Amino acid sequence: MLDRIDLHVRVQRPKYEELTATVRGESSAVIRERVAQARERQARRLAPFGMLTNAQMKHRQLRETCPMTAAAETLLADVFRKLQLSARAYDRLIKVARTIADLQGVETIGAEQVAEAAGYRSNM
Amino acid sequence: MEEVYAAGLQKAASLGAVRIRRLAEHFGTFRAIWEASADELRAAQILGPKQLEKFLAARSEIRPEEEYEKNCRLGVRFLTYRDAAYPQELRECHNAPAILAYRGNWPPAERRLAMVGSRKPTAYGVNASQWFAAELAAQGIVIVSGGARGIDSVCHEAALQHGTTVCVLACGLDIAYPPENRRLFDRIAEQGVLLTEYALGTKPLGRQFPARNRIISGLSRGVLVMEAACKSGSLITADFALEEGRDVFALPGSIFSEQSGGTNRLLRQGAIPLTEPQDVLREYGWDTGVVEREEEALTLTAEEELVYRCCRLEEAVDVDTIILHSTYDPVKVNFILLQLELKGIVKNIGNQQYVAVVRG
Repeated sequence: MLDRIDLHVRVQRPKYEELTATVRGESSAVIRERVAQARERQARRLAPFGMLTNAQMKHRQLRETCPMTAAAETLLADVFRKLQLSARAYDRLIKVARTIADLQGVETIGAEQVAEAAGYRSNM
Repeated sequence: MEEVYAAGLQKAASLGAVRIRRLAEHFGTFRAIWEASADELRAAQILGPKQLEKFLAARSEIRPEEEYEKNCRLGVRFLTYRDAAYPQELRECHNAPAILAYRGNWPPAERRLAMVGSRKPTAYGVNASQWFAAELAAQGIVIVSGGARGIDSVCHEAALQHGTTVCVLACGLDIAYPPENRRLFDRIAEQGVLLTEYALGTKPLGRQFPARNRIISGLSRGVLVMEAACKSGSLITADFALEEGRDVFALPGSIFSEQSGGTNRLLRQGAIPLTEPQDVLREYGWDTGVVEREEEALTLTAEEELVYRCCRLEEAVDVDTIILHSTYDPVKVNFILLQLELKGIVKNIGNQQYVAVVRG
């Protein structure tokens, strides 16, 4: 079942200093705005396919909506081969990288986004 | 011809290894056992009344030719205790199996060592097992293990990459247990040997595992216990090894680690401590001097080196902790960790936790 979940993030218990710190993190409102923009970007891009979000993309749409830098392509090929990904895991990796790029407002997926996406793998 | 009846007798399961051998001594051949009348079997006084009844019932339902054919179709071959190719070390065990079924290349090299351990190993146990199995296999030693989850699988994998391995199953060769090891078993059958004393279709029942362990130890000059809690099946393998006069080695572990409770106790009882693969080679005089491993020296950038040093060989470290210790930003750390993973020196074990991998 873990294989069907896109993002695996382990969250540590906050330290006491963090709870009481005066430095404020990013507010949820700001993050919400960023997410809304990313979703809008996705909806616009996927409208021709009758889709709303990256998660809905099939293998075919990946090729058409996920341009990548040469470095990203090389890294992806390396990851697929050396970490022995399944076809499903490969597609998911691209979708997650696409979403990270959308959150950053970047159109072409770079190696950084592929690497970050790879970090969210469940792996076993 | 005897192979056909070996297949039949193996399928008739109710006979133990010792009884099959006594029957074979009495009747001369497996075929003669199969064709003996009930009276002749009774007169031999090898089987008790209940056992005889069970055997006769099983025999009436089994057609040896069909069993043999089924085995042939799966590429399974037989080895009996009378064959010259039957391993001498195993023959010396008092309850050595009379009939073995295998897929792969028989015979394996003479120098064989068993490596066994926990099904739920720590990162430390995994790393140490990988290192020992790889080094010993590279020296031409055949690594014998049981194909279980955890340490067994790690040892088979590492051995396959640098040499060869023998896997002894506690079920029929047509059953993959644990199921996720199906592909590993197929690779072992191609490059090594997949072995069992059970007939096709035999499910992995609990009592068959200790029996399987006696074969693992029986095939080997010594047994290396890599990690074992105080009540681990690996200790049964070590017991068999001691009974048959084989050497027992154990990997020392932390006194606070549950998974080293059994191995540390073995050490206290006199097992040979494993601190490096050379320890084993020296013990047998197999120390052929320095063998240059052709591995291109791994070069790391300063940043990669730093992140690698934040990972540990003994236990998993959280990405958050690595970020904290490296002082790099999260995106950069993730990027470097992936590079290190592609170079094969760290492993993402899920949940954003990483362990370092031994650098050959």
